[in-house]
Amino acid sequence: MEERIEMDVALSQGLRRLPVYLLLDTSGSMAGAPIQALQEGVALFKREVENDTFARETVWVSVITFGKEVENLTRGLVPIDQLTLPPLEAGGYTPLGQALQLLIESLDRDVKKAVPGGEKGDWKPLVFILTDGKPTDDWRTPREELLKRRERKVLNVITVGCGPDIDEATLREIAIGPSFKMDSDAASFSAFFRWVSQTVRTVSKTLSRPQGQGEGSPMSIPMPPDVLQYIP
Amino acid sequence: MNIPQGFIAGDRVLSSFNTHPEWIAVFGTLGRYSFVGGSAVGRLHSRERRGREDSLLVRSKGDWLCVAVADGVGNAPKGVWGSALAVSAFTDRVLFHLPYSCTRKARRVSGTKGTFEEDAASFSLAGWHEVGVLSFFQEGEAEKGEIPPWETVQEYLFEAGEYTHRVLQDLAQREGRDPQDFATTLLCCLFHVAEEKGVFFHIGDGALLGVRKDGKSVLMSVQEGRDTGEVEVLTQPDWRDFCRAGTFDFRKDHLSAFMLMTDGLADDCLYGPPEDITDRFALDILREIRATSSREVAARRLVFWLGTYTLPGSFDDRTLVVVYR
Repeated sequence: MEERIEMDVALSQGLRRLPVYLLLDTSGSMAGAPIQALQEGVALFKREVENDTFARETVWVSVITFGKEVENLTRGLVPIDQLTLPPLEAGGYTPLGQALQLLIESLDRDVKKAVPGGEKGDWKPLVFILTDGKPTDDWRTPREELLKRRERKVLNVITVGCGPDIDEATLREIAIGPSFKMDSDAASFSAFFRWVSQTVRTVSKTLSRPQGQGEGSPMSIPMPPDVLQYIP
Repeated sequence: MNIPQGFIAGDRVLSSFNTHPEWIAVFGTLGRYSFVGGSAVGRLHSRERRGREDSLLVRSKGDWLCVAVADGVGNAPKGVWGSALAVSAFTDRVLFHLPYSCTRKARRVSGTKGTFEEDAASFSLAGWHEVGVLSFFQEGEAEKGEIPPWETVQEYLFEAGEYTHRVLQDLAQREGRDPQDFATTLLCCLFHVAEEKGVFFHIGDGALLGVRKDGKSVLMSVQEGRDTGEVEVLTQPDWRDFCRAGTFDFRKDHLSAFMLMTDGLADDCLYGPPEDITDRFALDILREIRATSSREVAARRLVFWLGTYTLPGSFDDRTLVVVYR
């Protein structure tokens, strides 16, 4: 009698997700070509991540916009294939503080912690903040909270300033984690979102790192495109 | 004594080029204990043609059974060299310290003592222990050596950790590389099959799981705080601050088996839902292994399962060694 090769073994039904947050500035200064480029950039990001066999299994996304209103457009984290955005509208000021507060609320509510014998837990969230101007509300308090989480190594944050209205000093002041500056033309937005996709895809394949290698390490983040200028 | 004092089954140290098989299965017996293990390349490394970066090694010296699993971490460029060297150097060093001690008498083979099981496509020799795939190992001459106090045995493990850390550093220096290029976790269990007691050493992720006779599983060692995404490795300078060690008593703890695994599998069996996943997983594995006609077939089935089961988000290398009575 031949023995069957398959084994019948119970395995976890949980999924360890890689949460990715996009915080996008939709203030009045983004009107016109920049907001259009932003919309197309998010669509490009979705396509590129979806096309990656491994990233599409683990990446869950949340999009928070801040302008006339501050909204979590995805109502928490959604699988990459379910990411759909309404047409983005530019208007209002730059309430970065409220957006950071929404981010904190979602991190607390939607990201699961690993508990042996319990929940599988999520991987360390990856946050991209894109803004083109000086914040117009109280952003220091939520930023402090996020900085603390980053120091505890439970969060990766990359801040990018775009356009002529944001100077290096402002960017340094609001930055949480590595920060970059870029122009606000369509080519720059396209290159930025392509880099975000590459970063997400790379991180989704290198979810565990030897201790001491931060998110700035070349092993975890691909080299930024030329349009992104690193702000030390 | 010029006869073998122990056996070795599993991954060997890599030298100038990579000879690490993409799947490897080991099996064998020592005293009243059996072991079955497998290590399989994950979907990600397979797709990228990176090969398997986990390593496993099972070896013995007299009544001591030493099992080690390691995981070359985070796409470290030389992770496979790191994990293969770690399991080899660590187990070699631990066993080096221990005096040879064997409580069983050697048996010679005669023409009437071999049997061939056609269904299982394997044969066995009465009174000999089988080790590896189609390799057979004769038990050593009976010789009573003293078992050191268990505290001393545990010290040997830490000393072996120091030794292995140095070996990896030396290798990195010779190759002109950063030691973290060889980053590797390590979980090693040293078990005395006559005393039925064991000690373990663990740095990084993966897990040591005990399975009790009542069907409940016990997490004997596991890395906490996985929400940072960082794994402690033997190559980091402050590895001593993060390694875990402990002892266990197979009889007093009412165990029927213990399992060593790397994170590629641990992530799929230690976390729910369902809530009782670890108990169910452990019982299923034991049932499948025991239901098989031979350990060789069990090892083949185990590595086939490790290499082929699919779960969303599970694409790392997977390694499991089961020691059971």
